[in-house]
Amino acid sequence: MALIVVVWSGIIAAVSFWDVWPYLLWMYFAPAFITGNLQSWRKYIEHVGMTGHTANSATRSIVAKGWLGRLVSLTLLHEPYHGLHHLHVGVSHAELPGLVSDLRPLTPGERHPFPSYRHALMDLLRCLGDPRVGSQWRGSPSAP
Amino acid sequence: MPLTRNPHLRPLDLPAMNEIPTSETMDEPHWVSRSAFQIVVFLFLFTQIALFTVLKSGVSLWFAVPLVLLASHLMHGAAVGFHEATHGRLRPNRTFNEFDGVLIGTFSFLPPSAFIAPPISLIMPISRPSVMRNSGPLSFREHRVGPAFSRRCSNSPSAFSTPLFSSSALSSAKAHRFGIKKYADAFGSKWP
Repeated sequence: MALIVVVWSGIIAAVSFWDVWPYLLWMYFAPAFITGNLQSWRKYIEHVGMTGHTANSATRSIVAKGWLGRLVSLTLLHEPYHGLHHLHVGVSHAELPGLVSDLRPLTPGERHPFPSYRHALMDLLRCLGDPRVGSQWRGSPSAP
Repeated sequence: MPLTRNPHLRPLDLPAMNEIPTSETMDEPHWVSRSAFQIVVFLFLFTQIALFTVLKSGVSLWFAVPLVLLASHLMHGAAVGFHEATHGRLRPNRTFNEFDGVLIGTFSFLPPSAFIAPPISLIMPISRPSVMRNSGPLSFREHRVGPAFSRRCSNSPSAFSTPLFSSSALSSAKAHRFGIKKYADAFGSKWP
């Protein structure tokens, strides 16, 4: 925390001294604001409405077909293989794609991977009427 | 615990919205790189340089919008890297892992201790035997790196050295595991 205060005090002082607030706004605050939203949307897409207690029934994973999807996956450190992220907790992100066969559903309720975040988002939107997360909700009454 | 679906949830197996990847797709080569984080950082740096150039040149700010969106995505990748760093999985080298974690945390206003939590297997309990092998009790390294990570960021080197070298690190790891077991029992999770 002390490091954060020191570093950002220096940044704010420098920005004030050179009067470059628009640069800070466009190069840091605007992207950071969008990043926070992206992070939350990705988290919700991966989990909201999933009430299973296995990796494939408690997460939505993305296995992209096209180059753009694969580039997105690479630049998100393979986070879209989210079921594997939970299934193999101790495995480095670079090794997750090699374990993709583990995303094949084996038990009732497990989900196939989605081909893109757009497909998973549509699935999330259908769950928003009853946005429960985790197996602890199983058996409890659904939302009115 | 039975593996039946929650009857109160709507069925989600509409093929149009959950296109099932074929085995061909699953087995196709994926884009994998151990240097993915470094790639993200350099792409972010180039994007920032381009953004600075656009702002400096005085052209319409609309030219900056796609660059801001690209920078947002790359910052998102860095945030994922922060999460990996707190698990000690971002970089194979522990020093680099901690350095990157502290660096990202500093610029995102997040002390790394904010992400040090019970293992994911408790938050998202898994039942497969193969899973339990991988998501079982934390290794000794994880027990000592977690507290060390947070202490190093917040306090003195002496505080950092305590969990690394003191003999109490092992006993505290045992106590930590006991605490996790109580946590698991409370939330109905399985624990070996």
